Amino acid sequence: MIKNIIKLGWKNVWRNPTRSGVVIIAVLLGTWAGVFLSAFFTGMVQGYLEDQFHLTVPHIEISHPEFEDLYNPEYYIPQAENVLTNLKEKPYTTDLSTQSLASGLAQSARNSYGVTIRGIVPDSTHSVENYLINGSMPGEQYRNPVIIGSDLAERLGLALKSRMVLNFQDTNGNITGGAFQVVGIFDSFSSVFDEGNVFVNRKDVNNLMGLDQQVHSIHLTLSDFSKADKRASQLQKEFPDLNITTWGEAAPELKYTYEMTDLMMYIVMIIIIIALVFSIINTMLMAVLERTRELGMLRAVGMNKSRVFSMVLYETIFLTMVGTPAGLFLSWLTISYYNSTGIDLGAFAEGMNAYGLRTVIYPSLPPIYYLNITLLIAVAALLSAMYPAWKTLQLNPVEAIRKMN
Amino acid sequence: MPVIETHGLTKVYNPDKVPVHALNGVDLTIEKGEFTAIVGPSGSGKTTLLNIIGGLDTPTEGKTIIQQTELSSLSDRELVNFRLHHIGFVFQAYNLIPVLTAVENVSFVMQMQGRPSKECRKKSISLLKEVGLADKIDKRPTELSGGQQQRVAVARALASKPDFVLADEPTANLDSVSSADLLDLMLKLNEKEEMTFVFSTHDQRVIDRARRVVTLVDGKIDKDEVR
Repeated sequence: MIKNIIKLGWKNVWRNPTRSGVVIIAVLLGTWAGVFLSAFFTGMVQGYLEDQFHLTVPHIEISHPEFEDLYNPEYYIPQAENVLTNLKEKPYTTDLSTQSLASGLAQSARNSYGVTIRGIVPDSTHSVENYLINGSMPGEQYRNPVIIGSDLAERLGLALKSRMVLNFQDTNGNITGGAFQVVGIFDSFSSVFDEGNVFVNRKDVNNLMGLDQQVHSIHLTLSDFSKADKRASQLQKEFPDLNITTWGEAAPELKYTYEMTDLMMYIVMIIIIIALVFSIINTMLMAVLERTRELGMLRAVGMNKSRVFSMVLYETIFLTMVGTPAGLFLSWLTISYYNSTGIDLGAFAEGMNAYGLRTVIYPSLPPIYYLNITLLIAVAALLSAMYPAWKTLQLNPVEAIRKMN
Repeated sequence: MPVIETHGLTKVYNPDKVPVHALNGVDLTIEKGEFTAIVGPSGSGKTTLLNIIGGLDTPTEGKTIIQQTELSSLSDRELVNFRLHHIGFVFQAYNLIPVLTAVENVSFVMQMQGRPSKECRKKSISLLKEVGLADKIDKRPTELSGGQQQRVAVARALASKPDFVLADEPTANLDSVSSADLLDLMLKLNEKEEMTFVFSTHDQRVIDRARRVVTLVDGKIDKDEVR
C-alpha cells in the first residue's frame, strides 16, 4: 500500500502544475542561491586565507622565545640548520623558508615610515615574487637591493632604482642602517602589508645587524593548515626551547574568519530554507484545504489517519525534493564554471584590497557541503510537511461529507 | 440474519447550547439483499441516520449493530478498518480521486485492504464492465459525465466486497436519464449479487422503484413500507 500512497502523493503534486511548478522553481532557485552564495563566501575566505598564508602568516612560525616581543636581532634561532633538517623529514611539511627580521624605519628624501625588514635568501623563490609589478627580486646585480610595496613607494615617493635608507637595531643594541636601492615593487592583496614590509637579501641585513647565516624565523607550510595546532604541540615537545606559533595564534582574526565561514554558510542556508519552508507550508495548506472533501471521503471509505498523514507528507517531500537536486546540479554547474573563470570584482578593488581580499573570487564548495545541504533541506521538507499533514488528521469525515452534499 | 440493526438511536447536536434533535429513537432492521430508501423532508434525519449506520458519526444514545458487531465497541482505528471491509459508500458528489483513472479509483479501496495489485486491477476492470464502463477504464473523472462518475463510485463501493452499500442522495446531481440508468444498475446488482443497498433520496422516481421505503419525520420513523 505504501507504494500506492507514494504514487498517489506524486500524482497529487501535479494536480495543479502551475502552483507546484512555482514552488519547485522557488526551491530550485533558493537552493541554487544558498549553495552558490556559500561557495562564493568559501571561495572568498579560502582565497583570503591562502593569500595570508602565502605572504603574511605562515601555518607555523618557529622563532626564539625572546625575539617576538622587541624584534631584538640577537635572539636568532640557535642551530637553525638542525631544526630545518628535522622539519624537512616530517611527512606533513610541504614547504620551508627562513627569514632574518628587523623592525626599522624606511626613509627617503621625502618621507619616512616604520617597516618590517625581511631578509630572504636571494636564490629562493619567495611568494612575494608573485606580486611583483615592477623590477625583480633582490639579487646580486646591485649592492643592497630592496623590494618594497607599491603603497610604501607612493608614501615615500620612491620608484624603481631609487635609493632609500633603512635603519634598525643591531645585535649590540645600537642603531644601524644602510642605503638600499629599490629593485622591485610589489602590489599584493593587502595595502597594509604593502606599506609595512620590505624585502632585502638576508646577507645584507645580517651584515648590518652583526650576524652571519643566522635566521630569526622559520616558516613551515603544512599539508593541512587546519592541523596546525596539533603539529605545533608535537613540535613544541621536540623543540622545547623554541617558540612555536600557529597561524591561529599569530593572527586570531584569521582563525575567527576561518571558523566563521562554516557558520556563515549555514546561517545563509538556514535563512533561505526558512523562507522556503513557509512557502511550502502555504502551498501544501492550500492543497490540503481545497481537498477537504476528497480527504474526508478517503477517511470515510476506510483510509486510516496514518495513511492520509503519510500521503500529505510524501506530497510535501516530493514538492521539495524535485527542486532540490535540480538546484544542487545548477549550483554545481555554476560553481564549476566560475571556479575556473573566477568572478572579477575589480570594480571594488580598492575596498577589497583594504581588507586584504582578492578581487577575483573563485567559488568552491567541498562535496560534503552538498550532502549537508541536501540533508538540511530534507529535514526542512519534513518539518514543513508536518503542519499540513497534521491538519488532515483534524478532518472529521462527517463534516467533509456534509460539505460534499 | 439482519445486516443492519439500530436500537433506540438518538442524536442531539449542540446538547449544551441550542439542542437539535436529529434522531429521536430510531429502531431499524435491514436484512441482507434489501433495497431500502430512506426518505423524508429536509432536516428529518436521513443523513444523520446514514452517517451513524456507516460508522461516520456516533449516536447520543442507542446502538448500531452491523453483522453482529456493535459499532460503539470499536476504537477509532477499528472503526476505520471496519468501514473499509464492511461498508461501501456512494456520495452525492461522486468524489472520485481526480488524479486517478477509473480503474485506479476502483482499485484504490482494494489496495487499502491489502489485496495484491494484479487482483485489484482484474477485479476493478470486471466491476467497471459490470457498471457499463468497460471502455472508460483509463479515463480520469474529468473525462467522464456525471452519470459515468457515479457508476465508477458504485463500482468503487462494491470493490471492497462490503456487507451493504450506503448511498446518500446518489442521484441528486444526475439528470433523469443518468438517474434511471444508475437505479437500473443498483437494482441489477441488488438482484444479481444480492447486494444490500440503503440510500437516502428526495427523488420520487427513485422512491417509486425502491422495495422498501422508510419515511423519517422529525428524527422518527413515520412509515416503514415494504413493497
